Amino acid sequence: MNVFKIAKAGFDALTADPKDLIFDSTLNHLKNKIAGSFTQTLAAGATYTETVAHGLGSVHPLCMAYFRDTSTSNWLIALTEFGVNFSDRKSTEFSVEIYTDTTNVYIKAKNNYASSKTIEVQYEIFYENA
Amino acid sequence: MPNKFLITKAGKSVKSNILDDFYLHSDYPLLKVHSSGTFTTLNDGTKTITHNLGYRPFVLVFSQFVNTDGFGVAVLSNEYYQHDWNIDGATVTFFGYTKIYANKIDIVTGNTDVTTWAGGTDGIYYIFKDEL
Repeated sequence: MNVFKIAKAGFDALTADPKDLIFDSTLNHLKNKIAGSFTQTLAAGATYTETVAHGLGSVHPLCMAYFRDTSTSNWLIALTEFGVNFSDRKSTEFSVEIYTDTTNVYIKAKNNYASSKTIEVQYEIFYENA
Repeated sequence: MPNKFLITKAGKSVKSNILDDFYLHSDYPLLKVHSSGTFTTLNDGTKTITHNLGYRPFVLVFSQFVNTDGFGVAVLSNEYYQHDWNIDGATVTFFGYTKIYANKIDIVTGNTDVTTWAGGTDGIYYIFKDEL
């Protein structure tokens, strides 16, 4: 079997540990199925859920989401939370969580600020699943 | 200058300076899957997955989480969430998180009242060759 490897600078592709490779044709890599984004202006306390059909059949795909308050350039990773009591966990006034069922990926954003705010969310849905 | 290996998306130029135009760019490592799998009925306990990589790898875990119905009864979500949840019920807090070691990961669920919930928690995990 032919093998194709690309090593990081300073490493030999023939002997490098897998963590020091850029690409290794003997290993699976995350493959992007859907990449998207949305921007929403939410009133104080308001919630918005973006629903994205993943089209992968009856599985739960891997996915990630990042978000920012559009008045800043700081991007934060979504963490699961449920209920306003845990808004402090992420040191932000936005609560964002990403979750899946066997049909869709959902990105739920809540504005915990006392005033209207605009949020931008970027997400990736991968072919890898279980 | 070292050689580069580039694969672009259809219609994009290899001369592009926009990283998103590339499927593969040899300056940037791709996440390489070491192992993956599922777990089921994890109920106030720990699921240990041995990887023996010798370093702490990047890991993704998704799972059902436990909420309460407002009356102290545990309710399991149908959906899979990032396995980093901490749900504050009226009398008990439910939690799920992952601990990463050089030879294993521990996928933990539990609560502050040492009760269990019907069905337990199902989920998926991916462990990557890439070091944290």
